[in-house]
Amino acid sequence: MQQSIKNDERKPKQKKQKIDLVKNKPPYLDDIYACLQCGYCNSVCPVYRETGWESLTPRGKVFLLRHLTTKDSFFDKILGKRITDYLTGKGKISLEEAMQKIFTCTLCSRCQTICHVDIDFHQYWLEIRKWMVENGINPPQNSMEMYKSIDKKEFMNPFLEPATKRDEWYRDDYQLPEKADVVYFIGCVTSYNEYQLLLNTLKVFTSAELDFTTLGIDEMCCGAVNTMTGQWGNFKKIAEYNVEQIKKRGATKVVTGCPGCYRALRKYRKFVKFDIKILHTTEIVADLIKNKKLVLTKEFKEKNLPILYHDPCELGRIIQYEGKNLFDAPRYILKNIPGINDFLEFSNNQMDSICCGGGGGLKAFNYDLTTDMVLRKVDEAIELGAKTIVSACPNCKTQFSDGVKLKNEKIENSEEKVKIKVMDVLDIVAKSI
Amino acid sequence: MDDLPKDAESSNIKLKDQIVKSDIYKSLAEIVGEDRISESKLDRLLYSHDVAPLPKELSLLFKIVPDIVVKPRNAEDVSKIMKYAVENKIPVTPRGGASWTFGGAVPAFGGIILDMGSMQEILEINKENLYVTVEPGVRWNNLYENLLRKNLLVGAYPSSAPGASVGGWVNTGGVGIGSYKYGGINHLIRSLEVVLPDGKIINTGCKNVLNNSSGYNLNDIFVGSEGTLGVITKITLKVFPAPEEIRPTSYSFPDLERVGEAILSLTRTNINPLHIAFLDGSHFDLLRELDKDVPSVGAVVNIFFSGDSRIIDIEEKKTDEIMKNFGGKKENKEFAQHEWQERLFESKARRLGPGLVVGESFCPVSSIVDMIKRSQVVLKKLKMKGAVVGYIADSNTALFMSYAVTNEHKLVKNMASMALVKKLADESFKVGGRPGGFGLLFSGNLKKIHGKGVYVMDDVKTAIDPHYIMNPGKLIENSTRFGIPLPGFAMSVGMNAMAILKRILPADKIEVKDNATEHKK
Repeated sequence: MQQSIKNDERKPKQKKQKIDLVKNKPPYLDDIYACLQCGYCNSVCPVYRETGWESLTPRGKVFLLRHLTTKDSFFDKILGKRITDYLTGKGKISLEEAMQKIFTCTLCSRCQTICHVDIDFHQYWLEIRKWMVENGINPPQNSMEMYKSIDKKEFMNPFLEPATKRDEWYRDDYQLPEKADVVYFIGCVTSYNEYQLLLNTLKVFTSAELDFTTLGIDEMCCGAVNTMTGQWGNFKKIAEYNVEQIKKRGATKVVTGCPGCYRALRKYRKFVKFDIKILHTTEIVADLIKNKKLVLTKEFKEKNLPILYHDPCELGRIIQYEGKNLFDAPRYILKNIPGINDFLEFSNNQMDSICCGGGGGLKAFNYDLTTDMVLRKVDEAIELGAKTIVSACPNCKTQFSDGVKLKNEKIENSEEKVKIKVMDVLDIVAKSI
Repeated sequence: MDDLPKDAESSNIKLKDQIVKSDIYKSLAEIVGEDRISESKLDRLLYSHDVAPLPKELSLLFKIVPDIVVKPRNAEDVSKIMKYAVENKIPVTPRGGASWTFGGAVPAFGGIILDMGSMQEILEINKENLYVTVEPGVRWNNLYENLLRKNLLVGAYPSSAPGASVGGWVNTGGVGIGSYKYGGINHLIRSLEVVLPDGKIINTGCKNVLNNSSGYNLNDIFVGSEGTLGVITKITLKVFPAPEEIRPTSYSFPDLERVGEAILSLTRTNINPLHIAFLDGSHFDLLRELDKDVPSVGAVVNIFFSGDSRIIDIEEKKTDEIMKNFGGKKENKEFAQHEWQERLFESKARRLGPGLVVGESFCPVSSIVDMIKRSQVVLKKLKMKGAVVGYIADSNTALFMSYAVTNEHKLVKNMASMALVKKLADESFKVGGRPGGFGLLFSGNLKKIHGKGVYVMDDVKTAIDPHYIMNPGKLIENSTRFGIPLPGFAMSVGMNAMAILKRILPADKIEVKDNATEHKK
């Protein structure tokens, strides 16, 4: 009932705001017209691979945008738009539907690797979503709720979890200093869903005697979800708040284990003065190992070998596009774990890595689709003979864990069930201390 | 649909449209399920085009927007859909990757679109008998990579490999990269599974061995049929052991005519490279306009070798000599490697327009120099900026894929630019060759090439598809949506008029806008 009242309230507002996409041109209009419609992107798009709908491919979405933003043609002018539309079968399409199509995407940016005319898709999709929201086309309901949840003081995360619960997993066991050189920015997924990873990271940092602290219950969602769903309204506020909290700790470095947070933190620099060094946990741990500050002794259990490394899109390809190489750090760590001489890779790796489905906020919007995506990855892992899937992203970890679980649910015979562990690089490091 | 203007078409048609549509939806949903079917305008619009930038005005002539989109799962689904379509006389257009430039997968009369591009499974890779069986929607680059992982090589693949589907390439009778060594798609097919318009599912060949014994070769009937005879639902291709090495080499020349002479000489030897491609210097000029780091050259020929390294050594040495004789300079390995990686990306210049027209035509290698000159004259006469590029498909066939940059924002000029396709086709006839595909607009050329053979084709079509529901409006029967036939000569008169118009209009300029690359800085 509450929802319906809300909808009723919103309707008159929408009527006042006339959406004119032709006049309010989208950013990167040249890219929209440069698109050759060659369909190369279809061959790499994980969403298209699972659904098979042209409307869910980068090519289809660009075509839609072109259709939505094209001016009246010659015949529109002489025959009238309605008649031409009728004769040609073209004309108006539902904006709601177009929004749904454009948001059905994990923002993995694999399309950029193959684009014939070099469209910067990793920025392009974000900017298009932003443009749509600015023009009054609402994003999916779930992501609007996430936005509101982040905005509220009692939550400060997208999952409607109480802010006071953010440090409940470690506050009793770790007495962290108020000020430190390094701030560990935990991130919402790690804080609330992947507590094992959180504890392992703390264990690693402590045993390396790193001078670090966390933001505790003062941490606010990094805002990545908002940027992904085009809702930039409160991003500056988030940036200001988090930067202030980090500065309060007197830190010179901020480190995070979540590639989403990592990229969002980098974006803060556009909004606030933020000259603190931003690192991913794999970078700092690789450094600690290199400098022999972190000594790894315990052998990795042989029954969990071989391990298979999955490149998270945001930590690999997208960061590469943003000018930083983070392919090597996690691989360096894995090679230095006692008992791991070699590890497997997915046949599509590094720049060509295929998304697990956990990105882009798609999970909240179309869960079934993302499970199809991860199941394909799990199938490949089984084919490669992997016993452990390793990643360096809490979202990927959750997604793969769900994938393995789902895979096993489908297998009735208990002997045939898949025994694949899903771990983060930091989990493995913690185990070998 | 409620607010349709009454004067647009008679209300009868409107009513019929509505009834037929909802009936199609219900009946097809019973076959494939509602999640594999869509009749929303948004979805249908996306199936009304391929790579060719068809102007909106063209849809006044043809009903290029389909009435319904269906994603079948297998041959059985297709068979049921075909039976339904025949019963209700609804046109069916199968669609693969839609990466062609002739509109072959674009409906001419609306109806059902069968999205075969969504069937993307590689069903069997048989190393013992050297074949692979795939669904029609598998993209060539995915097939290539998957086979290479198993140490196998797909013989030839289109120069649009990431966009083109296997089924689509069969239907367009493709030649491409690797055709010089391994032949076109017709040489690679072992067998096809085809659903005929009456719903029968047939296999056209034998998956283990050649099809060369007596008996009508059914494989070849479907090669290049543009989806007018049936729906291909499975393809078995022969594959080859992966070579020890694929070695790209590049030679630069003062001009393209010299390249032509060198290629003619090379094709008259026993050297058997994987692929020979030639590119005009203006191709690189256009790329430099896009801030790409490419050298300024007169022309380039890329020769890719594959096989055992020691044999390649010998072949490369002999090729070096031939190229040197015609004034070619061997480029370094990095350049050659770069050209190998760029082999699938030849249309980057589109961003400059934005817009691109591609004219595809075959010509004998013996008159390749003549054709090069003619193509350059055509580009000059039409005052277009573009490049003469192409590759060698077999020892006496050169495939020209010359392109020119256009501007889609300018309706008249852009329409007139289509004349390039026609003019290049005309030139290819003059040198004893033929134009490439036919698709939506150029089926008038079919009779010019095959003469009375077209009547036999017509008979074949009538025998297999008596109701003319398989991709109507393509190849055989060319007419617009209101039943007005579009004879070849009318098309050619129209195209010639456009060519004259294009010659009158001011020359094409390329302006690189600053904001085009703003975010790349």
